[in-house]
Amino acid sequence: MTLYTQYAGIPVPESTDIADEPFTLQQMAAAIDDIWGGAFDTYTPQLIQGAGATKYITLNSTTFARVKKVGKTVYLQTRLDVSAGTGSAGEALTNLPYPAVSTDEPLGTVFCARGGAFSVNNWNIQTAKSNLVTVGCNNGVSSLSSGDFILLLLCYETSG
Amino acid sequence: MATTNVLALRFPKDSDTSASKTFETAVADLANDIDAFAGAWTTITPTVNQGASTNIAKTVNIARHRTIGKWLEWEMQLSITGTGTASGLITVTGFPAPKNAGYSLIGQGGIRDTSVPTKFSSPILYDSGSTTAWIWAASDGNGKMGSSRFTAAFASGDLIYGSGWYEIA
Repeated sequence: MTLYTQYAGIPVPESTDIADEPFTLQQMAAAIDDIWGGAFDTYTPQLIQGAGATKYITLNSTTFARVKKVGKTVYLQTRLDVSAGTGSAGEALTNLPYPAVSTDEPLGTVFCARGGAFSVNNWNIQTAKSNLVTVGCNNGVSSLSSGDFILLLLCYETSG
Repeated sequence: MATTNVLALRFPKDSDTSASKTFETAVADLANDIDAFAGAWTTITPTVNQGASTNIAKTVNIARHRTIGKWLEWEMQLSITGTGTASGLITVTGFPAPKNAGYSLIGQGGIRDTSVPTKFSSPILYDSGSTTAWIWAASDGNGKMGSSRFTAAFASGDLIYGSGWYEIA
């Protein structure tokens, strides 16, 4: 029996007589249930702006970063709550838990709120940049500061 | 075998060799359960509010979701037939909610003001705070739909729509 490419890691029977392996069908069902039905996983997000040692922006504990990977497809729902900025204006970036297939690959949407009162917002379709994605707002690239938050909703193909 | 079986898949049992359930039937049951993931979506009943106007009359053109375990996809298009309150925050309730605190981005869509006519594109957020509802946010630096951008009262002929996905509680 030739095994197909196992993108999602679902176990398959190895015996040529499938009736001999009911246990493997249980394993298949359990794997499918886990992959498709389980809760998302948490990853460690980073928010970067500027350069040097201070480029990593401190995030509040209300930050959450959730991801589900099904084979070559990644679903990501993340909220980055800025605790303190770096004081360096410039393009803001965040890490991807799984690399995109290519740079400039459209990944999904990002919503940036400057100040908790939705005083200055922006909504963009974001593209990959190596293993990072840009989250800077078009309405300016001034330094992020406490009260700002960035929301991501991405769905993309991964090379990982 | 330990499993939570979130998707309620019909696992073939170790002893499924009796006449009541053959191995072939067990495989077919599992295949059918998996195939159901690609089935028709489920209807949902949304409620539209704007400021003091609650449960604004509307025609539900589209309102449905597909949920696979913790992952929910949704789409919605509502034609307003009633009247809202000018400068009131627009919220939609009646959907399953995510578990995270604060705001989460759950999709994109917009609002069409038929009186102008103008379409306002909008990211759609879930607010698990005091609002506990879905809100349509402005994408151009003007806060939230209803209370900021698009401050007219909802009127017959207006449209509110969107689609997206998120992890649910």
